Amino acid sequence: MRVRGAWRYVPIVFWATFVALPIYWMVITAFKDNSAIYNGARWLPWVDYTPTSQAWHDVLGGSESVIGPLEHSLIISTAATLIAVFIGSLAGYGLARFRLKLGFMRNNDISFFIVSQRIMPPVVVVLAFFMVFKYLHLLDTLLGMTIVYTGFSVPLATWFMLSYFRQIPVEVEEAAYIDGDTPFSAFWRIALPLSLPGLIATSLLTFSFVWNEFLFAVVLTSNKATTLPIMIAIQQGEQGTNWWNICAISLISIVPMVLFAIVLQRRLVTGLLGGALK
Amino acid sequence: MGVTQTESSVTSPRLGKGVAPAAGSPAHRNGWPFVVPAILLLLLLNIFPLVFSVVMSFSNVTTDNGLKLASATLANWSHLLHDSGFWDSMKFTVFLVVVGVSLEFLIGLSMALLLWRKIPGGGFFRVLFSIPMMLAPVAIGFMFRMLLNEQYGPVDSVFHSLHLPDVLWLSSTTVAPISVIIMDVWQWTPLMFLLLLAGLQAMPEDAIEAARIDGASGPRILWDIVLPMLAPISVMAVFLRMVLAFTIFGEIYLLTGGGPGTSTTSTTLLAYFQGFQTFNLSYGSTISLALLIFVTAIATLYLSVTRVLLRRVQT
Repeated sequence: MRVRGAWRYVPIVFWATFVALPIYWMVITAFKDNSAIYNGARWLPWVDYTPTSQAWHDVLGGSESVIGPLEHSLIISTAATLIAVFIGSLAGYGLARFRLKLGFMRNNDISFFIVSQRIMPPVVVVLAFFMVFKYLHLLDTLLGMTIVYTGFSVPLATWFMLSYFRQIPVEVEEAAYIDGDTPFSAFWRIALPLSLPGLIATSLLTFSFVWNEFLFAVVLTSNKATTLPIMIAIQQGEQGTNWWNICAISLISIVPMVLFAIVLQRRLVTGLLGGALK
Repeated sequence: MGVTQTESSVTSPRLGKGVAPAAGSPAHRNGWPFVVPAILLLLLLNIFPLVFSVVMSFSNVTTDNGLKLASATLANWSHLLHDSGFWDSMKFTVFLVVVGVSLEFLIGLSMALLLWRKIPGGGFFRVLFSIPMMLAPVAIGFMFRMLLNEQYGPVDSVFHSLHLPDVLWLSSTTVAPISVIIMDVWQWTPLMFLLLLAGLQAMPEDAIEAARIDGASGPRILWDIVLPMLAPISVMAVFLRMVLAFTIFGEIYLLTGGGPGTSTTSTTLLAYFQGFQTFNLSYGSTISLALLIFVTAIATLYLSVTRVLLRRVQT
């Protein structure tokens, strides 16, 4: 079997090279300085250029410190993820378990209304947010960014949690109702713990969307609520582009995601798809 | 969980098929308290800004006036119809969606099929293939700008040492759109790959086993059994990617800034430039709403066509 399937590695390795080379380039560039960049391509540290950790000193507390934006990113992303996933879980549970009726709208129509918000291009709302936030003095605040990202994340969170709750058998909750539980306690004590893998996957996806988002951040923040993607974008200065800083910040910002991906590799995929496959 | 049921589950919940809920079932209770927070939140944070944006597009907003909207006008919309900049941006965006998403689907599907069965090193490749998805779009834009740099970039140096002709990756109006596609494929094939791989792994083994016992060849099994069963998840994955691709912004902003000229200006980029570089917020809103109308039309068309196709594939 192994011998028969060996041809598989030709396309796999070909694609792997295409995927890996930019990542490799990013890693080695984070240890370069002017001379290793502007005098032509340098491929191997210690062989054709001398690595330096200057970028890391600058970025982690030095002249281009990203500590502040890193904190903003963590606060905004965590808060928006928690709120959006909680509200999305509630809505997903309500749509998966109850018969709802609003005029002509039934469960399918209501879930379509919620999920379809995701096809709205962010640029449609960002201009309006800019005007309204300017008026409410919410521009460049952590609170304002958390609000925007929560609204942006609820549709997907609802969709994923809805498909997850549909996979969980309803019988346990029915027993809880007979014991006198309210719908909310059945949700909180039984359905939510049972859907932990889905909850994790939904949170990670939401977090990564918010963490990397650029359009809202570039329009609505300037100083006190800047996030990591903004720090990456502004490294292109008048004296040239600080490639090493860009690469160092990018690598810092990818660390949490890669850790999650390695630890939760299987769970993430099954959790992500939930009921959509069954 | 029969194969025939899968098509309904792409968009619709299992409820509401006329099956009476069992006694004591939560279906009898009031579920509104669960759903109302999400609906209120979306009305406030999506629908209200949308309406505001519509109002802005029929008015003339400046940043100094606060929320005061000038009198109603159709000027923005009539300008839009004759604005070649807008139509060029739509052309480029559609080109990116069609070519980019097709390539991502084909490569993602091939890689998922190749890594479906356990092979040595499979876990490593699965992790490697999902890394690009986690990088910030702005980081990816910069990274490709560095890689494709025409003076000191590595791609140029490889072309040079292989005696290939110089390619103006970012400064030629014909090549720059292709560079954007290359970046997009690098960034988003991972999502296709992960979704399709998960679809393959969730597939029931018995049908494939039965066909193999009947003596069906590998390609026949792939074509007659595996691909039809993969159809619902493929439809969903392409839909998700398509919707995201229509709103591409950060990557292009950092890779080419929309240039050279306007050859890589996506519609979102154009709306952003109008709104925040020329501070024509009203016209920016108009462009973004035109994009919304277009995306909604395409999404509706896509969903109804694929619904019919899925039904045909599965019977």
